Amino acid sequence: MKFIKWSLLLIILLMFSACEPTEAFQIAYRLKVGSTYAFEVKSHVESHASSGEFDEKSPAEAVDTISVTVLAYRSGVFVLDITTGSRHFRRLMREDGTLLLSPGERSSDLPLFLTFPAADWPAGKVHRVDSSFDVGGKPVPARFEIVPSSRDAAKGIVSMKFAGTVDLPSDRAIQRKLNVKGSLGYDEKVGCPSTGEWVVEYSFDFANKEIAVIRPIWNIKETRTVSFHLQGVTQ
Amino acid sequence: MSIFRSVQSALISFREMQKCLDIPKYLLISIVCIHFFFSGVISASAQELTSSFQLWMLNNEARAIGILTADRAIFARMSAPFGFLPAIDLPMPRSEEKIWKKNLNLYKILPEFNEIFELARRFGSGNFAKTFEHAHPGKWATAVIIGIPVFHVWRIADPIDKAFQEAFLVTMGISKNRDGDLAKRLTTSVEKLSDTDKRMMNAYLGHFVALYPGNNQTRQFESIFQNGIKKDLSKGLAALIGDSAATGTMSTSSKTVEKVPVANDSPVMPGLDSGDGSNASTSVSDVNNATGSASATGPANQQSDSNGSDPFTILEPGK
Repeated sequence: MKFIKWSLLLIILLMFSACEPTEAFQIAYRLKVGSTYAFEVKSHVESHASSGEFDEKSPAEAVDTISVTVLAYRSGVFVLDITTGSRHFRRLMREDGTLLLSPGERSSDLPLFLTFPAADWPAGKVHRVDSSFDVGGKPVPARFEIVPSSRDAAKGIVSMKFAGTVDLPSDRAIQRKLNVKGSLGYDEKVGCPSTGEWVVEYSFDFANKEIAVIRPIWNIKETRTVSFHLQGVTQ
Repeated sequence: MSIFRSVQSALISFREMQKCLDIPKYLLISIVCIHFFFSGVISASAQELTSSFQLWMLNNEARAIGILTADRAIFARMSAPFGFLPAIDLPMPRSEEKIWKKNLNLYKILPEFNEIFELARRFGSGNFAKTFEHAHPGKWATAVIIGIPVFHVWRIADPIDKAFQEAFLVTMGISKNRDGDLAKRLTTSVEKLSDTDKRMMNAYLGHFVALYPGNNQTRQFESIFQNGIKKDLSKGLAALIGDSAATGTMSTSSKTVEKVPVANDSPVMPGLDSGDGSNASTSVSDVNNATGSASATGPANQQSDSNGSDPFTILEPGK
C-alpha cells in the first residue's frame, strides 16, 4: 500500500516537473515616441582575390553614427526617422522588425530583415525568416534563423544568436557561398537591441570544366564584419 | 561575316556577270564555288595565334564580373539585417580588379605575338628570301639601265635596285628596323611584363592547354611564350631584310618563371622542349650574340640548332 502511495506521489511530481513552464521571452521593439536612439556602427570589409600565385587583399573600414528618432507609433507601426552619414530617410517598422514601408529606398535594394516572433519565444527555439532574392530573373532562396540563448536578469539583456544564408546557384565549376553569423543583445529596458555583431562571408571560386578536367582560375572572398552598440537615448 | 557579304554580292552580280561575259552557267558556278572554297581556307588560316586564348580569357572575365556584380548586391543586402539599422556608407574594395588589371597587361602583348608569329610563319623558313635572292627582280628591272653606255647611267642601277628592295619590304609589311631580329622584338615585348604577369600568363596558358589539349594554336603560343622562337626563324627574315645581326635563340621566360605543369607535359611542338633547360649550354652563346639581356634569362634556352625541325612548316612542306 505504501509502495503505491509513494509511486503515485512520484508520478505526480514528475508530471508537475514536466509541466513547469520553460523560460520564454517577449522580444519586440518597444521604442519610445519622441526619443532619439544613437548607435555607433563599425564596419570592416576585406576583399581577397587570388589567381595561382597572385594574391591580393584590400581592406576598408568605416565608423559612423546612426540616429534613429521615433516620430510616431500607431497600430503597432513605428515611424522612424533615420540619419546616417549623408543619408536621411524614413522607415515604417512593425514591432517585430518587419519593414512596412521605406519611401526613400527602392524595394529591390532593401535587405532581408531579421524579425522576432510575435508570440512568447521560448529559449532555444529557432525562429526562421524565409525570403528570396531575384538573381537574373530567378528567385534565389535566402533565410535567417535566430535563437535566444540566455538572459541576464540583472542587466535586462537577452542574448541571441543568429545565422543567415543565401542559396546561390553553384555547380562544379563555379561555387558561390554567402553566410551570415552573429550575435545580438536585446535590452529590455530600452526596448531594442543595444549591441550586436555579425560577420558576412562570401566566397566565389571560379573554375573551368571541360569533360573531366577542372582547372581553378580565380578565387574571390569577401568578409564584412559589422558591430554596433547603443550610445544613448535622448528625449 | 565577310563570307556572307561576298555571298550576297556574288548573288547580286551573278546574272549581270553571266550577261556581260556570256560564260556558260556551269562554268560560272564552278568559278564561284572555287572562290568560296579558297576564301574559306584563307580565312581559317588567317585566325590569329592568340585569338582562342584571348576569347577564352575575355569570356571567363565577363562571366566572373557578371556573377560578382549580382552577388555583391545580395552581399550588401544581407549585411544590414535590421530594419532600424541601415548599412553605413563603406568603400567597397574590389580586389578582383587587380586581377583584371594584370590580365590587361597580358592582353597588351598579344597583338605583338600575333604579328611576330605571322611574320615568322610567312618568312621564317627563309624560302621566300632564297627565292627573292635567286629571282633578282630588282636586277632584272635595272638591267636595261646598265646597258645604256651614255652619261654613266649604269651608276644609278644599284641605288634603284636598293630602293626597289626597300619598297618591296614595305609592301610586304616588313619594317627593316623592327623586324630585323624577331627574337629581339619578342624579348622586348615580353620584357614589358613583370614576373607576376609572366607567372599568371603561364598559369592561364597551362589551364587552357589542359582544358583544350587539341587547340594547337594555343599550344604554339604557349611554346613561344615559354621558350621563345627558334634561331632559324629569325634568320629567315633577317636574310630577307639583309641584316646579318639577327641571330640567336631567345627566351621569354625569366628565372623566376617556372613552368606550370599541364595535363600533357610532352614537348608541345616538334623541336621545342618543354622548358627543363637540358640543352642550355648550346644556346647560351647564341643568346649572348643576339641580345645581352636575354642571356641572363631563361631556363628555356634549350633549343639546339641541330636537333629541332621547323615548327612553322607552312612554307617548307617537304621538310
